[in-house]
Amino acid sequence: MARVLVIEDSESISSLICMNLTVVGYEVKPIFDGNEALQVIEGGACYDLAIVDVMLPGVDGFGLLVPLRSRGIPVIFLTAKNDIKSKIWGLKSGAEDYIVKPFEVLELLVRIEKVLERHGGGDSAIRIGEVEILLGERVVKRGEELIYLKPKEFDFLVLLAKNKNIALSREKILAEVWGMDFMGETRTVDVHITQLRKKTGLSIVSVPKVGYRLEELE
Amino acid sequence: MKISVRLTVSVIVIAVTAILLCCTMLLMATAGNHVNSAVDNGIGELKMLSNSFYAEMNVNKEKRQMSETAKSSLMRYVFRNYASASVSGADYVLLHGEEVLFNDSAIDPSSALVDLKEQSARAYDVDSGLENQVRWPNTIVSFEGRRYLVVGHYDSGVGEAFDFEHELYLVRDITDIYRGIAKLGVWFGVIAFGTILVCGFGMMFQVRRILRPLGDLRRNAAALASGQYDQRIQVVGKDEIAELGSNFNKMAEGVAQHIDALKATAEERKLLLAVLTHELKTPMTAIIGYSEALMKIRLSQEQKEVSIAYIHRECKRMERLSQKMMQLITLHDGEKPKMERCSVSKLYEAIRETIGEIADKEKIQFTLEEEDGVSFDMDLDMMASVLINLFDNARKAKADHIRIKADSTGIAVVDNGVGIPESEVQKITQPFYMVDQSYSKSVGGSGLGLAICELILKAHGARLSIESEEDAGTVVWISF
Repeated sequence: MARVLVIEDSESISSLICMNLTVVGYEVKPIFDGNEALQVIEGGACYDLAIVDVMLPGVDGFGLLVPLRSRGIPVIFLTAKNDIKSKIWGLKSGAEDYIVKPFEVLELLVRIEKVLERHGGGDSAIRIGEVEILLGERVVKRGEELIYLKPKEFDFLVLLAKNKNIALSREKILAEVWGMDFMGETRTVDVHITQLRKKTGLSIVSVPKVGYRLEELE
Repeated sequence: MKISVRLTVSVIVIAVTAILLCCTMLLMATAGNHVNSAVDNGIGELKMLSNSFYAEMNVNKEKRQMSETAKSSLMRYVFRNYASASVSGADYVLLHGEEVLFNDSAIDPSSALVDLKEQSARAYDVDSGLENQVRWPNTIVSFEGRRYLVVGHYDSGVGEAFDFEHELYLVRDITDIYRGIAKLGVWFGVIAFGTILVCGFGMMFQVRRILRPLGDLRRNAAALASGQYDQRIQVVGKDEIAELGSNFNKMAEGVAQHIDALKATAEERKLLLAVLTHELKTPMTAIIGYSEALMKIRLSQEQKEVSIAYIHRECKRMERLSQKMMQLITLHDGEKPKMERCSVSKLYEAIRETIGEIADKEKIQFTLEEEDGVSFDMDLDMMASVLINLFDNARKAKADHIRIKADSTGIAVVDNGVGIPESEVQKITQPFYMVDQSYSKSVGGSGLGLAICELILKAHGARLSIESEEDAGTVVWISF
C-alpha cells in the first residue's frame, strides 16, 4: 500500500488522520513541525503522498511545497484557512488538492485515492483475506478460483474494499456506484450486499444507523 | 405658513395699526386745537363787538319810549357801522325775532341758526355752569358746501338803553381749517403707506437674512438623517440661530463619533469572531473526525479509548476558549470593575491556593513578596485572575521559579522561563496571538489570557508592560 507523510502540528488531528489512513491500509508517518519535515524530505525517504497543514511551526506548509514536488511527492494541503486567496495560491503553486478543516474522513480518503490514481501510485490489486480484486482486469479471485460478479457488484465491491473497515452509508454507496442521478431505492444496496456476501464470502457487516462496512479479519 | 411670511405679515399688521392710531389721534388733536382757538377767537371778537355796540347804544337812554320800528332802525343803523368796521374778516348777523336786521354773511339765518338757539336754551336749562355755552353758544354749521363757525348771543335788552329782544351772531368761514386738516390727513396717509412699504420690505429682507441659516440647518439635518455624518454648518454671528447651528454641529460631531465607535467595535467584533471561528476549526475537526471514526470504523479497544480521550480534550479546550471569549467580550463592552482599596496581602491570599495547585503539579517554586502595607484600588476578583493568568503564562514558559512582588508603584511577575523574542513582545497581547502555537496549545493555552489581562488593567487605569530576555526569563509589570 501507499506510504503517506502526515505533516500536521496539532497532535489530535495528526493522530486522527493517521488512524483513518492506517485502517484502510496506508502506511503513514506523522511529522509535527516544518523543520523536521524538511529533514525527512531531504533525507530522501520514499513517499507516495504528503498531507500538509499550512500553518506549521518552523517552515510553513507553502514552504514545504517545492522540496516535496522536487522529489515527486504530490501534496494535499490541509488547512483551516478558508479564504479563496489561500486556496488559489495553494492550488496554483502545484498542490494536488486543498482540503479545508473541518473535513470528513471519507472525503479525505477519496481525495487521497484520486491523487494516488493520477500519480500512478494507486494499487492495481486489492487484497482482503483470501479475496483478491484485480482492478485493471475487473476480476475477483478467491485463491485461484474466479468469482463471477455483475458490473455493479464489482464496482460496489471495489468501493467497499477501498474503504475497508470504514462504514459507508447507503446514500453514499448509491451515489458512488450508481451515480448521483440514480433514482433507485436504498433497498437496491441491500440486495447487492446479500449477493456480494454470498458470492465472495467476505465479512460485510451492517452498522446500525450508518450503513455497511467491509471488515478485514486479522 | 412659513415663519418668514408669518413674521413679516404680523409685523406689518402691528405697524399699520400703531401708525394709524397715532395719526388719527394726532389729527384729532390738531383739528380740535384749530377749531377751539377759532371758537375762542370768535367768542372774544363777538364779546368785544357787543360791548362796544352796547356802549354806543347806552348813549340813547332817553329813547326808551321809541316805537319798535324806530328801535329796529336805530339798532340796524348802529350795528351796521360796527359790523362793517370789523377788520377780522368775520361776518355778523343781527336778528330781532324773525326779522333780519342785519346780515353780511353768506348763510341763511332762518335755517342755519335755529339749532344753535335750541342748544343755548338747553344749556341754560341744565345750568351747566359753562358760561361760554350759556352766554356765547357756538356751533359749526355746513351751508352750501362750506363750513362756518357761528357764535351767538341773545339778549332781551340793549345794554342799559332800552328793552329790545335781539340775537347777535358772529359767522366765520372756517372751511380752510378743515381743508388744512384733510390735507394733513392725506399727508399722514402717505407717511403711513410709506412706512408700511419700508417696514414690510425691510422686515422681509431682515427675516430672510436671519432665517437663512435655518435652511442650512434643515439641509444638514436631512443629510444627517440619511447617514452622511461628515457635513457641518458654517456658523456666522453670535445669535440664537448661530448658537443652534454650533450646537447642531456638536451634535453631528457626537453622532459621527458615536457611529465611528460603533463601527470600530463592530469591526473589532467581526475580526475577533473570524479569529475565533478559525481557532475553533482545529478542535472541531478533531471532534468531528474522532466521533465519525467511532461511528464508522472498526477500531480496537485502545483506539476507541484514545479517540474518546481526544474528543474530551478538544471539548474542554473549546469550553475554555468560549469562557475566555465571553470574558473578553464583556470586558470589551466596558464591564466596570468594583473598585475598593485592597491590600496586596489580601490579594495574595486570594491567589495562593490556585497558584499553589499549579505549582505543585508542575513542581515550580514560587514566592509572594510585598513591601509592608502596600495597597491599591482594585477589583479583587479581576486582579486575582490577572495574577493567576500571568502566573500560568510563566508556568507555560517552562519557568521553575516564579516570583510575584509588590511595591508602592505596582506588582511584578518575574520568571526564569524561556522568555519572549523581542520582535514578538509587541504582539503578544493581541487576542489569539501565540509565540509558539503548537506548544501553547499543548499546554492548554487559548491565546486570550494576556488580551484579557490588558483589558482588565485598562479598566483599572493601570498599565501592563513586559520586559523579556530569551532563555533568561520575563518580567511582567503591572503599574498602577
